[in-house]
Amino acid sequence: MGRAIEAVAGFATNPGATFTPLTASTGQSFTVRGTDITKGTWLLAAWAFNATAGELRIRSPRLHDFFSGIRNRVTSAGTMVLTGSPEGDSYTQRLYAQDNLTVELTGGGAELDTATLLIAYEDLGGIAGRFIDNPTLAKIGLNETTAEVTVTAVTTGNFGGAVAINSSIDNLIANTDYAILGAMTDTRGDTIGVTGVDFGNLRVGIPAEPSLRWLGNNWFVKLADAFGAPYIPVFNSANKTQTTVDVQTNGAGGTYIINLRLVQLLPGQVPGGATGAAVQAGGGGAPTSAGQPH
Amino acid sequence: MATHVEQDFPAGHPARHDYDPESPEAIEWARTHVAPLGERDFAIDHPKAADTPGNLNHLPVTMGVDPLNPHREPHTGRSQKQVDGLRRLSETASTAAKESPVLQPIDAGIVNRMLDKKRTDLGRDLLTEAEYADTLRDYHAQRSAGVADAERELKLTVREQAISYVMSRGYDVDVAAIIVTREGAEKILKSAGIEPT
Repeated sequence: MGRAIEAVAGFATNPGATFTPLTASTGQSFTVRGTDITKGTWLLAAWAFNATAGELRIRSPRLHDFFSGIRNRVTSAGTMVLTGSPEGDSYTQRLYAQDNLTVELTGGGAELDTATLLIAYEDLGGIAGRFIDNPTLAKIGLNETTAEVTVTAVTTGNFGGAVAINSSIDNLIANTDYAILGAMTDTRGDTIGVTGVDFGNLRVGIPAEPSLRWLGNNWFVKLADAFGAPYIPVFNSANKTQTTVDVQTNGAGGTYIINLRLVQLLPGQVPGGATGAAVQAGGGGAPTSAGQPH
Repeated sequence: MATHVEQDFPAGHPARHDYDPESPEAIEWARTHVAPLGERDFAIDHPKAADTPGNLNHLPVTMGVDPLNPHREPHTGRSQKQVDGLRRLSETASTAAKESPVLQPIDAGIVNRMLDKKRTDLGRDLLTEAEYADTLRDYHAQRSAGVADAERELKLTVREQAISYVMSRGYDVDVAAIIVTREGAEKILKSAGIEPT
């Protein structure tokens, strides 16, 4: 099954009180990707980062209505999840293949305001990203570690400053799968993006909110828990130089210290990854059993 | 060695054998133990008691802010001078920073197999940027014909768009197909305000 998650971010320049369609970040689009129409596509979450309070509106004829749709107040200077929050039980809006979502923001009259949709595809042809659910994580999880990176965001409202996940501290064990449970940031922005071969080169995303560290640090675990599906991304350390972290934020840019919460996994348990055949067969001598205490 | 003398009540306590209500000890005991206005939330002189001089109850406690140093930056504790300096530095860095490259979506399973083959051929795990680029170029070259077919295949027809819309109103795919056949795809899309693509 070609599972995929994609964080699609955009920005509105000087929207003021006028609902302004977001300009999608470079290379992205608010049109839902083409999939088999019988396979689910879900709006897992949406959030916004405004310097001045405004409204985020998501609408489409295929959603509830094209008049107001999903419309929520964006409070200033807080990157808060506005719909599909994965805190505890939640609800996720189904999306439809090739639907051109209208995503609009209001906000400040002299600033760049930003928002992000996190979209999950149950089966996106030609992607086959690597994701696991919580029972699998509990069964094959081994040791927790952190990847700390420093990202310098750009001021254009696009994703920028991409650095490899091992750019600051290269402590990952060779040929080993790691689950990304979530991430924390020390600076407010709109979205922390993680892109890599193992996610089909699509960007998974986490709200860049420093005051919700407990939520960000457990972001994908919460998504998997709330929506009962494999939404925890997995990458292999053999691809660490091609697994990158970047940030999308408003016109202020900024320097972000990002802590990605990783869990080392047992080798060979998550399909589709590097086998480590070249040098360290069997995952570098990692143990063959793991799991959470019962 | 001095012998420890255990007293039954502290000095000034009303039950003590030498109790003198006018003594400084008795006055202090009464001050700290008698509450004429009724039960107190905190004992007299407790640092949180409302009548303790210098208590900090009026200070707001907000996330990341040191109540005794509210002028410092939340969460970091930096001084305003440090904050200003870092902001200037960060602005300079952000202006010079590059936008992230746009990547073409790939099939992780296939690309990982291709990368593994390359690693085996080279006899090492970590590939260089150029070796990654080579593999991805090979992948896209091999898949280009297939991708065109897949894109054609994934492109929804007008009928499929209409079925998709009817499904969004709560019908399952079989019922939606019947409705679209009966009503006509273009009529349904027009009534929904959707431009067929």
